[in-house]
Amino acid sequence: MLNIAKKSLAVVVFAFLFLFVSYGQAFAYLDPGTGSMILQGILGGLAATAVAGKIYWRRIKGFFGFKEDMDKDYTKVDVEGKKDDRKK
Amino acid sequence: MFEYEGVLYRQVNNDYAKDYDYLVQSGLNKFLYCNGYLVAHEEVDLSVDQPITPYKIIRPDFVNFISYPYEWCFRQYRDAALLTLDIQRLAVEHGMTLKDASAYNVQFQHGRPVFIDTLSFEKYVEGQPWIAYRQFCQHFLAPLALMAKKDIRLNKLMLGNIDGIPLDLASTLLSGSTWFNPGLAIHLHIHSKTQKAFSDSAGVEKSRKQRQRSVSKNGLLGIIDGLRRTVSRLSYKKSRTEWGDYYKDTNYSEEAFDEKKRAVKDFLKTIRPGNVWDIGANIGVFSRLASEMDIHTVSFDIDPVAVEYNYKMVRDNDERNLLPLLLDLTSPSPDIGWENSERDSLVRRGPVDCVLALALIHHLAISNNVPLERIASFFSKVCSFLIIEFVPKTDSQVQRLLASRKDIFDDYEQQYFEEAFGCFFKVINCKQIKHSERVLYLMENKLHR
Repeated sequence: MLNIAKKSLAVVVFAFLFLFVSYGQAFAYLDPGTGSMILQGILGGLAATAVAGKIYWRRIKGFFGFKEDMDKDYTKVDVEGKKDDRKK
Repeated sequence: MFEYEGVLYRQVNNDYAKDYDYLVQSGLNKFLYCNGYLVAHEEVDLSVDQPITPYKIIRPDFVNFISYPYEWCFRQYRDAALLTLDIQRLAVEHGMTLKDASAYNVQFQHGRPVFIDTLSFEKYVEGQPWIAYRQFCQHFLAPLALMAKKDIRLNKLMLGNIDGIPLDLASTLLSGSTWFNPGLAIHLHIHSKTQKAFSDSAGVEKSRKQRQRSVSKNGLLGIIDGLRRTVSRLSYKKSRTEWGDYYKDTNYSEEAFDEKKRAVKDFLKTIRPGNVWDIGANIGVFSRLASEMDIHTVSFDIDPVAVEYNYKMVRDNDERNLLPLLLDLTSPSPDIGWENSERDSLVRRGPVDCVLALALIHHLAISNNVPLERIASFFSKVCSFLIIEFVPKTDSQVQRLLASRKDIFDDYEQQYFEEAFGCFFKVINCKQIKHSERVLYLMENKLHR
């Protein structure tokens, strides 16, 4: 359910971003870093909203008695999925 | 970075002192080191004349062999990318951030990727975007996407683009269908378009205020997680290549193969090298003879499938002394970057104690038409000892190579081979491989010692 909502949101966002960034022609390649920063601003906002949404969704699920998924512990995730024995 | 009495040191300057101290005090340095993410370093008391007075001098652990992204197979590259993202996530959680996300900051040590740039961390200020986001996309995401979605050999594009593959180039090369992959659509295609839109002067003016746009910590972590999902879902579609099935398609009988293994092992025991390059290693069967003797071994091959398979074995079996890498010996990695001295050529990363050149000479002499003297001359530049196999013209593999070309190789004879190599090497031992027509030589470089 959440996945479907997320995917639909993603499609809308793509369409918006595509229209937003497709305007104009770049005549001089002055600073590709500016675009990167601006994109991060937009993506960061969306990601933060998604995180907040996720938290509320969990609360709602919790309210109705569904068990919460635990957050992934990144300190235990290896590049190939077995971090624990990294340093032998 | 400087070298003193053969040891590599790094100087921490005063303007980096706060960030360095925070890295140590926040516990991030210890955490990364203890989990094998970051190369260990030791603070040392060293009084050397430097143009700028150092805040501290550190001595990082020695990395056995420096390799570059254009020499990595797909999985090595993906592991390096995931390591960078995991480090950035951990850094943010510890109140720091990576200011560089260069693929050259990752090396392979003890069979695993490790981050080598201890001085890449700076204090994270809430609201600040990831300054190295663009660099990560250029150095990791673009080449990985091209390798996974277009052609496995496209990491070679990194050779001509020292700061990573420009996103507009990656976006043009990738097929339209990659727009349906949300991660690639956002971080490559839309990213490239955003760069273009804001790179003209009018765009820069317009964007000045927008540039100040802050990214919350949750937002930043969301971006990193999104990148991680995108990278980890990229996979390489296996295709049959020339070498992938080599050992199923060889003219060696089981006895001859075992005999060759024994002979190589005996030669290695005779010379006890500190490090070995196995050139033309295929999936590393003979490299493992050396690495299992605790000798650091680089296992080079031209075939991406063979290197992929070799690296998978290294990871699956936690092999610590073997490093599989891609190499086309007819055009080995050159010196690139500023003043041609940022990334070293293969030859500059030598010499090595011993080179294994097994079932290789016919490919160089016949397929690539390199004269025997020139082959000998090359090996003399990169090793002290050479274990080389001579494959005569009558061998069925050589006949296969000659089937599609005119035989203009009159000099390709054992006697001439010995003469050519005799100019640079002294033959220490020589062994006919039973049940085959091949001969194995152990040679010592005449300039050695």
